[in-house]
Amino acid sequence: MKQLHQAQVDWWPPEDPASCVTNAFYAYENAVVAAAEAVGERWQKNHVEKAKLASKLAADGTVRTDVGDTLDLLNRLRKDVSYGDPGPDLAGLDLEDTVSDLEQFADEVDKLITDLEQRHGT
Amino acid sequence: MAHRAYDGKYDREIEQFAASLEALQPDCPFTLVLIGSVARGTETAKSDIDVLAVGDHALRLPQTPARFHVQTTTMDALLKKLAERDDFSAWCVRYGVPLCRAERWEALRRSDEAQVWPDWRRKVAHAFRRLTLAARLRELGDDDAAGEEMLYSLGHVARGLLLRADVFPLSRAELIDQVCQIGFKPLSNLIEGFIYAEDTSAILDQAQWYAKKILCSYDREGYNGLAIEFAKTNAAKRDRKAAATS
Repeated sequence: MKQLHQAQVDWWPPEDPASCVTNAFYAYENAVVAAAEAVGERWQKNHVEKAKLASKLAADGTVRTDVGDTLDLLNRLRKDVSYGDPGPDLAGLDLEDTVSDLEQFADEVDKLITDLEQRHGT
Repeated sequence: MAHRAYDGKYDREIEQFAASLEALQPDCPFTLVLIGSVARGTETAKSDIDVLAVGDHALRLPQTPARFHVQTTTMDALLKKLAERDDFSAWCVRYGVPLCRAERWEALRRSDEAQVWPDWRRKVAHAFRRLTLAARLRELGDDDAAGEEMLYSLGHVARGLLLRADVFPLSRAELIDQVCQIGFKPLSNLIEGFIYAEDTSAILDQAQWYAKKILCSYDREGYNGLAIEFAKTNAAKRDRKAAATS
């Protein structure tokens, strides 16, 4: 959730697209892992596997939104940046939309965890 | 780590990807170049398969196969980057393995731009950026992410030092020996730790301190300029955040 806040701050002017995309990527991954752990799904410390897991969680109805492709895209943009200068694709990304979609997904996972906790009386 | 030539083990996936890329833009010729650790034969199980797609015009990417990381550029943009002394572009030209339309790649290799030695000072900015991200992720409590960003930062530090010493940096795994040979054993140990250790939390602080120390001592002026700019940006963001929440 802290990474989500950082991504939110990064798209405010002066924008920091490289930091925004990196924080958004890790925030998405952590949300996917939190959702997986909430339903007892195993996960691996590997970006490709986490993107697959995101799609699996959507396919089996654990979460409504499939963020697998988003994770793939953000991972690619983040890696482009990490090699040095931001690539041209980063300029085409709408940071506000990216952060807004992330907020919605974080809310969705938050609700999933709250519902499960209430159901189990914890 | 000794490198070995690319043995063609991903050719099938690459051919399929090339076919999808061509189907998306049949009128835009392109060259696919294998880059990174796979091109050098030094990949680990965690490595991505890095590919550079160079089009005559801007390329749109189809769905990429799992583990593939594809970057796109144009021939003109690549030549411009080479002339600007960008080390990543220079790496691709020196060690990339062309997988199709190799004759265009060979012509690029022979260009004047391809002979330009990259500017090590650019690596200070790259390393600083990843270092600040790693530090922030560490503060947020995500050590795995911080470790990954720290490895990028150390890689940039190592590449800067090597370029400065007139040694062309190779793949990430090969940097371990290369920086050791120019007298940076602690940096070599740290890079090795971040590549191969399962849990890197214990060396994060040491890496942060060491990277900062090297950057400061090798380009104090550049580092100070970046630090001032970073502080200004953060102050502007804090003001903006305070205004938004008040």
